[in-house]
Amino acid sequence: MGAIDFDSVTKVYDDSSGTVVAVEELDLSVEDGEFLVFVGPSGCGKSTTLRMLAGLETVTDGTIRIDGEAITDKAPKDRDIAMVFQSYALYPHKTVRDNMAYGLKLSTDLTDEEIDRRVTETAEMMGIGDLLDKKPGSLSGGQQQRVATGRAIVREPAVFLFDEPLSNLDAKLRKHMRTELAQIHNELRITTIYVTHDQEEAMTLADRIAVLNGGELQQVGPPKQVYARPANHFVADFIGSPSMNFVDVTLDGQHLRLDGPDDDWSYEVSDGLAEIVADAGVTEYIIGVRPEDVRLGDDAPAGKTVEGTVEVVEVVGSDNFIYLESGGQEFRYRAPTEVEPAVGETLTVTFDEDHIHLFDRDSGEAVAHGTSEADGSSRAVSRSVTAED
Amino acid sequence: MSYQSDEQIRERYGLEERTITDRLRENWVGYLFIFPTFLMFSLLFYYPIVRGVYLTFTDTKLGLSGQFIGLDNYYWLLTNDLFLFAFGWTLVFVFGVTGLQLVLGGLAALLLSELSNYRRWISAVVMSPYFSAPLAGGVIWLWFLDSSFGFLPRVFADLGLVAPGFLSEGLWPYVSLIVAQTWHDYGYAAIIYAAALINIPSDQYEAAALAGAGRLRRFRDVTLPHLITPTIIILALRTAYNVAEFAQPFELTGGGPGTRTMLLSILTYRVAYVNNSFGRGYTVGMAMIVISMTAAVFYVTVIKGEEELYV
Repeated sequence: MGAIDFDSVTKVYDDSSGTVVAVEELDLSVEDGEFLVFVGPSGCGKSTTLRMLAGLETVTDGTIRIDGEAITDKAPKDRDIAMVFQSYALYPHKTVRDNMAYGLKLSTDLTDEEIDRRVTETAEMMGIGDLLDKKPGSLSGGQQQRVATGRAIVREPAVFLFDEPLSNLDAKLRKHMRTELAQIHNELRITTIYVTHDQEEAMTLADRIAVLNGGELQQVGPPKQVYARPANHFVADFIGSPSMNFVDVTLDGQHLRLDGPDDDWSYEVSDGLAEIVADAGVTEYIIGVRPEDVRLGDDAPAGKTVEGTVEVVEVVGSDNFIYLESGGQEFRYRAPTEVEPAVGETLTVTFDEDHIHLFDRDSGEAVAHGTSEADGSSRAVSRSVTAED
Repeated sequence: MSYQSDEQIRERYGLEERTITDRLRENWVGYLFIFPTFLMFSLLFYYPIVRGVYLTFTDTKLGLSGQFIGLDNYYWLLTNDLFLFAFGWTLVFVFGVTGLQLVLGGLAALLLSELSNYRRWISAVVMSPYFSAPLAGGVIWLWFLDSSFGFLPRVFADLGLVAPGFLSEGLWPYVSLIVAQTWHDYGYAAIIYAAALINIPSDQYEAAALAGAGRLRRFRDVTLPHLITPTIIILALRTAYNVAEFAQPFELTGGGPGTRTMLLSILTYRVAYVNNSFGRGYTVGMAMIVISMTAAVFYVTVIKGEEELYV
């Protein structure tokens, strides 16, 4: 009851300010009961996609189906969808009770007692039972968020849509509400599409993440897969914090060498990886290493280390983020707390070959993850792996 | 932190209560700066008001200082048929005009909010009567309605019909005055409503649409509640202005034919300048103040209730 299909859905904005392709030929299937998160930078088309699904934006081309039934031309109210807005969109003159009951009153034949029972029940579940007779204006941001979520839940729709619902909350409350939303989804198991620009939120909430950029789907897959096997340079850069280190390199025999006038940055790779890379038939790459995969390299074999000057040390409590300058580029290293070098000190770090990501410098597509080959184009990757899951 | 009374806090930090002279000494520069404004306001605003109220207890005429005559002017007022008529007609005029301005202004604002192109131009057209001088408005309507040379009677004649005397016959002068005044100021309501409409968050409409509300329902449940506050603001301001409205009605009928469309504003003018009785003129003016103040008090009370609307 709530499987969604996007079939080459395209949205073009064509008005006096110009013609823009906001979403381009999006193909995506969401299973019933799944929690899918659209993530991407602002302007990537994620909100547009959500609004097309809700019926708040027209679809330029393609079809959206819910349970096999095309809904592209249906009015929003006929789609059995409830949405939570970033601004909550509560009606300021109605009490919490009336806000929550509004949809039920308009779209169902339930009696007033039945509606009231459901509203009270949902409010108890959301922990806002004592706020039912208040107006939204007198509630805190967190409480308003709960009311907005409760208003969607009480309708028991086929699909929930969340459009950056937590971005107006402070950091602590945001994390708390994130957990609550995850619990609610576990209980109700209603198909949920969630839009956010916060990759951490996406990682923690999603069954599957769909990464969008420039209106195009970059990769779909479970959080772990998107993190460990990013399909291309963009996904690798976007997912993970602090973000992945990238260095432009060329393959020279078994050495990956930094481009540019000074050739002092090199990393020796094994025959296996060299072979994969040679098979790809490209010589110019971007090497990607996550800061958390970097470690001190004092005892590492020569040829597998990187030297850098410490520029900034950020103490975050659980770890230290160390920003090195190496070969004219920034190199981030997530160090344990006991590693606390002084600024200006030279540090030797290393990383395992297993943790290397190699991307084709022209196309940005992943060529190898560690010592295994990245499988073809990004979309093919996501599909084949999802099928296995 | 435990609760502390004002005195305890003062004692703890060695604060002393300050007298007025203390404050004067501390802030004398500030007082120096507001003194000119205070002086001019007193001379040009408060003094005339107090003087005006005093005049209602005298038989002052233009150029002559009057004698104190107690409540005679008020007795004259309440026993004067023309005053009682003008009072009633002023109420009809004010609330008729204000009501029509609300409705027309609201409709104009809704129309404007639906337009995507030319909105600025059409806003300017809607607002133009409001920006024209009331005297100019009076001339326009006179040229439009006058029985002997007006545009409208001419159109009637061309169609082979006989136009009623828009400014002289039966109920027509009343209708004409109300319509002309509504025309002049409805743009004021329109601009305030338009600002309110623009500020309604679009996602409230979207949420209502997803909840199953049709167009009319969305208008009732989302748009209308957001228009309550602007409505009260428009009512309060327009009522006061419309009570004091003089130029356009004076130009169109001058209170006539005879005294049949006598408004309090015109009556004030006639008693003071035509009959040369300033004391009585001010007394009529007091009646206008009573209407404005009563309305204002009523609106303020409603606004207080309105604040609870969102809490």
